Amino acid sequence: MVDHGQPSGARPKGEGPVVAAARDANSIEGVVVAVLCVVLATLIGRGLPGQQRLADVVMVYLLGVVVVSLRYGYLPSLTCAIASVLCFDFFFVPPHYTFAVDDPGHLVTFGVMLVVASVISGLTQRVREHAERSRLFAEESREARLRMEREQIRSALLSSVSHDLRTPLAVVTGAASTLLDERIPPSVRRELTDTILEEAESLERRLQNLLDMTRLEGGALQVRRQWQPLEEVIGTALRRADKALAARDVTVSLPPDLRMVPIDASLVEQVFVNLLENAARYTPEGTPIRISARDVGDAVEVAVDDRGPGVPETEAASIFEKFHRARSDVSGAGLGLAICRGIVAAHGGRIWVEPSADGGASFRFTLPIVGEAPTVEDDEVTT
Amino acid sequence: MTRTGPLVLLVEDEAHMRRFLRASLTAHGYRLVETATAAEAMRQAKAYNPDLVILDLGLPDRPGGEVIRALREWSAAPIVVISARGQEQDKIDALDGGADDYLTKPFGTGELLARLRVALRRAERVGQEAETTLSMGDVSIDFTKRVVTVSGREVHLTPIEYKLLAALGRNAGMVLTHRQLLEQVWGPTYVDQTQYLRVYMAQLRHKIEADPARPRHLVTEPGVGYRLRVDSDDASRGPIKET
Repeated sequence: MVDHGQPSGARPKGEGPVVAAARDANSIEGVVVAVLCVVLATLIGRGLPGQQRLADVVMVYLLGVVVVSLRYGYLPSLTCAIASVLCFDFFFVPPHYTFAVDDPGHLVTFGVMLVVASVISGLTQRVREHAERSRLFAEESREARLRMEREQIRSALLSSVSHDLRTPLAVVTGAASTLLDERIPPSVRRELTDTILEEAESLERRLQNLLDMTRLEGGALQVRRQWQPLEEVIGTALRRADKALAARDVTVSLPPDLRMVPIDASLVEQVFVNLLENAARYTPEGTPIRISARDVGDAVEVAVDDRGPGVPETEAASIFEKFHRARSDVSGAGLGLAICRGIVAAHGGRIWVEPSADGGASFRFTLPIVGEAPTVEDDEVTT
Repeated sequence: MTRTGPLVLLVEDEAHMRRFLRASLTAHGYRLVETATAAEAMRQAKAYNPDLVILDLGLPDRPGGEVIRALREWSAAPIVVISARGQEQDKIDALDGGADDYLTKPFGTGELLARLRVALRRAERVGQEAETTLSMGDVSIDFTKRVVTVSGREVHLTPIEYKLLAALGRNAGMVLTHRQLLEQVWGPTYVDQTQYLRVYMAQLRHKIEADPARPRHLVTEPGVGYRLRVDSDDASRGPIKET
């Protein structure tokens, strides 16, 4: 404490009242422990065989000081040292049970005892502070590392986003400026216009992904659960992914008695859209896709199966990470599956990929059934 | 052939949006009055008495809902609102407040023209006798006999299923909000029981759709409501009837 250059009792700058209060409480506890140590040392000293050699007794007291100073601050250590000297004098130095001293040589013993005790407590104090400092340092460097990682993620996001948005934008600009040229024949005009439309739509999709990711990360995502038949959500997702799926054969097979699920339809729709667009992007044109679901007790498990090359086992986990892109030749920021994971997690479910029975990948996720589905009575027994 | 197409009041504050809307609307025979603010829109509506209003919900001066309410005090002209994605509640409020349909930005002109046609067609029918039959593709509804057939074969519907289909059929091509449907089919005390609607809609789809997971007729408008799609909505057609 002395080498801190701080007046004793003063609180270090910037220390909150809570921390200070904790320190004060610690100090009080330390004093209590110091007293207990001295009592214990006295008892041990009294119990020592062979009419107590004073040097042994001193050692026992010093041990107490070491114990206290290892665990507590300066004030408890000092208390322990002084109390030790007093007890030593009172109980062991003749004449007993008085603070009077026969042999002035014993005064030297007291002095040495005090010095040794304060040196010990000073040393252990320093050891403790050193440990504290390295703990703080480790914490700081961990935080710095986290900050750096966040910074790296942000710049990766920025570069990925600007690339992802610029590519379609460049196509739009190019096509539109070509259209300004009056010599362009009508057939090419038509083609360029189609291109502009397609790229603009893809731009919209990417922006939506980005927005979703930001909302997921920022914790701004609100899950508005309502009991939904999965079929309807799949229906709206198929309509949205219609263009990406082109002429693919998508089969939907749901058990006729599949329960309703408590979900936010717009979010789960997004999961389906992302999985379908992903399948469309990474599997050969024209290969079929199959959506199925089954009841697994406390949840409904959904599967989107394709007949593509499948996902290597080594990538099965990382594929759901942000910015992960399975192939560099396929455009996209690598956010789609990360968004799926975020949305499924927000519903309390999990998402994974496994090899499909038909060859290809099977993306699966669970939607837990929480609570009781509302009953809707039949208006007529249909025959 | 002289064409005096329907007069559209376009209320949109984005100049570029107005430009492309103007281009496609005038190309399809509509006449146009444009404004960029709600205040101006109210004046123009009184001055021109348009056949249809296209209203952006994100106007700078006043919320779109106020414009709809004010218009509805004296005008029955169909209102089609334009809004951004994620503003589902705004859309629902606008529809429940008297708007007839909506479009979510970004949209293509095909979609826009189809919506306008449906809205105008329905406005035309107001006051006339209700149609007695409706057919779209393989499905037809006979409102007088209360009979629904799919590919010529009669389908047995429960009373509620029929009421639901009929409600959508009477507004064919237009969106109906959850609230509007619940009120019309189940009654005013059921307006929050959307699960009723979902369950019966699923049943109805299984009876009249070839693939219930990919409905051709009973279309979900996510977060807003349902729409009975009319197959004849061909985007390339203009508002003027052929004869």
